[in-house]
Amino acid sequence: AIFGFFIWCSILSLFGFGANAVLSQKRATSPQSDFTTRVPKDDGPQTFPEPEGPSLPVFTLNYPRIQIPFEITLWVLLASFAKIGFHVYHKITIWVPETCLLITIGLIVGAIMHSVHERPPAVLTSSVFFLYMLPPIVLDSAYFMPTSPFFENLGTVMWFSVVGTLWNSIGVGVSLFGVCQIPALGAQDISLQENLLFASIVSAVDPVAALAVFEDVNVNEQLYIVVFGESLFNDAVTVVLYNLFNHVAELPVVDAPDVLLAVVRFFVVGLGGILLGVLFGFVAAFTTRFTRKVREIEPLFIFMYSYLAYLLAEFLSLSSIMASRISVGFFFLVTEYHRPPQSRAELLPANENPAFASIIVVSIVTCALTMKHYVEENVSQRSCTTIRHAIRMLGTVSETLIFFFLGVVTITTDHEWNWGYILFTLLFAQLWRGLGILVLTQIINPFRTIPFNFKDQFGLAYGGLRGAVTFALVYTLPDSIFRKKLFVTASIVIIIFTVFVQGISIRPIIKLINVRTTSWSRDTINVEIHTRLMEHTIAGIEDLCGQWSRHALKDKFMRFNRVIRKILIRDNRPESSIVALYKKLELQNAMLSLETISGDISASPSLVSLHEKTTSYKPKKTVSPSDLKAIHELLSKNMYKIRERTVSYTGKHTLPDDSCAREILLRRHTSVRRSLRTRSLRDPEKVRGQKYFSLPLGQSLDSRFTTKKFSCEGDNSAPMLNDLPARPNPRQWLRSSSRAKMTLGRLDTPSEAGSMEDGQRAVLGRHGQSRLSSTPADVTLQAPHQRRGAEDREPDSKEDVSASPPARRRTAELPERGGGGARRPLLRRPHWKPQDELGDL
Amino acid sequence: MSSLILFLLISVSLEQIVILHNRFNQLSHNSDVLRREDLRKIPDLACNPIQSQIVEAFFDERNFKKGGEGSVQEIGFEEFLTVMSYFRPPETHLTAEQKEEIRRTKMRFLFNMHDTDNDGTITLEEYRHVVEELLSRSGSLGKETAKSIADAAMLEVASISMGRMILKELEIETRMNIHFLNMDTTFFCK
Repeated sequence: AIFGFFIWCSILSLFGFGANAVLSQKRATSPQSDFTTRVPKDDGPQTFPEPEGPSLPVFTLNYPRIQIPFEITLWVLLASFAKIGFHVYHKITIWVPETCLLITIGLIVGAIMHSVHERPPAVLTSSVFFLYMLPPIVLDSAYFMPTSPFFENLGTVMWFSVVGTLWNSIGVGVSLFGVCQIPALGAQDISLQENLLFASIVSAVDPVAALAVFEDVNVNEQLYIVVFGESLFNDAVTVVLYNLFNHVAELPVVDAPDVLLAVVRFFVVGLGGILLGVLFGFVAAFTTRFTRKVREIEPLFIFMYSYLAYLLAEFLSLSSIMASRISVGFFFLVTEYHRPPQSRAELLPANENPAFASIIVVSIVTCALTMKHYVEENVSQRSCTTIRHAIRMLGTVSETLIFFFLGVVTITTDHEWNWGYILFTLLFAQLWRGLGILVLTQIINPFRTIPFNFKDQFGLAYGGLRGAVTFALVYTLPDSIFRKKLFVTASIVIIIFTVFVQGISIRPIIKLINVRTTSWSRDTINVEIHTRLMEHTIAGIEDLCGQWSRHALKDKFMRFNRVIRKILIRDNRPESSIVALYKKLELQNAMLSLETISGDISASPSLVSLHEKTTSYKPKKTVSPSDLKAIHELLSKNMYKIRERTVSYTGKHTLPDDSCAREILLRRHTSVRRSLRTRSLRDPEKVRGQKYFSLPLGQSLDSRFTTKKFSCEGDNSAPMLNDLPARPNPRQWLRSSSRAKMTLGRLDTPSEAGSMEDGQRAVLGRHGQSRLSSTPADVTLQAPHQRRGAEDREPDSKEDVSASPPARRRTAELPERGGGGARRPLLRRPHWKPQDELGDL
Repeated sequence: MSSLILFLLISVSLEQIVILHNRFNQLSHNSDVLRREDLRKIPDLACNPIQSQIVEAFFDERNFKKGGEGSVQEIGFEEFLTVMSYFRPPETHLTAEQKEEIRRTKMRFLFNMHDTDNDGTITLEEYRHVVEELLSRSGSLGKETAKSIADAAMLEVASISMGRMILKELEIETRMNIHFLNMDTTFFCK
């Protein structure tokens, strides 16, 4: 299948580039240099046939006009097709990381292009990368970073990303420089600065593949987040270092002030970026406060503001360098140090270099982090989904393109192959990475609550794949670097080596050495409650000890946060994470049940709601007004969908509102409760039989129920109970599990049928204790007993989601109806007669 | 005092004990015993939503020794230290059994915070109470929400285990977040 795909893909690429090749042949007369810059100025609008005289052309081809966007679209499309292709046969992506496949496809496309003497479009320039490709990648990883584990491990993440990257760059750079002195290598002309520049590029890790594997094998949270955070911030550090060394590499002489300037800039730039990001995050959140009426442009704000933060950071980076220069100048005034004037002159033009992307990465990261926190509460559910999808999409496209491009470039450009230098680079990159992790972990471990063990360290070191950023940085090196081709070649070798060898082998190795794992499923309310409880406990104990540490700080921050939320969030309902999770789970289940059992949701409660009505008063023979009322209610309950449909119009500039979802949620509550209550007494046939919206002809409500009553009484109820576990009705279980997502079908086993009683008793709490005395014979009554238990819970959870006024109105009657006896279980239980209970059904 | 708590205490180092003793004196205003009021007066703790549970835990006999019952009015330094020792991070070199023991001990501590009437079960009311307290600081959520959440949580447990939250089931339930427990127990006494 995959080979078929490759062929298909190459045909597609041939198609895409075939058109290109034809064009290039046509334009062969134009100078080659023109072609690479992709600014077509040779021929204007081409017309076929050649216009003769003033007559209007019938058919015009204007390819150069659309060339650039057209080719970009083709590239993106091709890369996306490749992505689809990988997942056609999904086992491949388990064992071979996607990046490998992308590079492979790129290599194939490159080979095809090479054979038709087509050169890759020179779109990947420094400014294109920094202005258009990098922001989506960084935004993507920043936006989807798990916030709370990140802040828990912030120190370690920063330690590894800042110090680790410095360590790697300097270590690799210096040792490469040392190796370069060996005459046999033929690389004596590479200066220390250039080596450092190259080393900083090579030390950017990009462990997409490693993270995918970590996620799959449930590797422990600390390891995951450190690798994740390291890759995020080490991009920033690498870019800073890159610009720094890039700048330094252009200087003829390097002296102490330059180094000092670099260090100062490092910090100014970092802090400035953080401030800018936070500022824009707040502004974005504040803006979305007022977008209630214009939902359709909500997602736009996220992108515009983060991009604005990015651009402004880029713009400000110039001034921040100015600021650092001033401070350094002041420093030298104090120390009475005179810098050579010629080096100062060199500095100025370097500053006009557009690639000062140093703080922009940091700024976009913080902006995303800040925004995510507040904006998602202001915008509607749909906008939130849109934002997430769009961010993911843009990030993926960028990254895919870069990897794809890497494959193409590998084939099509001229390489400078220097065995010694490349192999030493490979060796040193791995060596210093390993050493760095080893040493840095020893330093950081005493400060960690859970220290990294040896296996974790191995995971950290081995997960350090090189990727898109490395390639983009090296490819956009200025041409003034003499051995640029060698650097490109060496980087490509490193990337391909790490991505292919490490990327493919990391899964078996991680599994083999058995790294600590944790379960990632935090999606139950109990876990959330207990997590919060523990956090509060720890914070309390720390307060009690009079000690400030992370938890106490977090507590303080949460208090501060509450003030900010008031300003930034529209309807400031302070919401604890527990509530949020609860609502999320409920909504999830509502949606799930809608998808899987549409129709059933309205069908199943029908009889039960009637039943509740009828138990509350004495049965009568004729159709009474109350029966009519019940029918009314039944109809109004079941027809709500139709009502909704007729009401909801969407204008051109409005999005459909989601109040409907809320009502569904509400309905789901009741239906779940009912299914819980009645599931033991129902079998599928009966359920199906109940699926009608009006009564059968010639039957009153009561006659219906009395017949059922007789049939139930005729049976011995014990077989019905034994029936319970043997009846797999997945729908029922699916629905009944609204609050217990993880335990689908557990109760289906016979051994647990008896334990249900226990369970219900516990849920009943104190009242349930009275049932302890029940004799074994009582077991037959278990099922109605369960109903009681469910009823007991019912009224409570009913009100909580009725946020919108219409929904509130509709549910107002529910508690009264359901809670008639259930609210006072103590009052009711003594009078409870099992047979009546059974008979009523 | 159970052997386990002794074991925990032993591994609290001497300087940590000295630091804790200073804090104890500071809190109790240099008297030998600590009362509830002393703890409630700590300003930072006053903002904690589960302040009362935390304070109560220090005066709970069950946390001092196995099989203890009821609560006391005042505690000495030894009891203070015992409660503190629950929050020690685990040593790095421990056997699986020791780890399990420590985990259970910590779990028991948490359980006791839930189980206010000391009957070995966490009932729905008790659970609701805890959730209410947890949510009490986050504004006007109201008891209804807290109730429904507690119910939902209890239902979760009910569908996993036999429903009654005796210690075993709480463990089943919290097995997945035990690593939080381990992780969150920072070095108080460093």
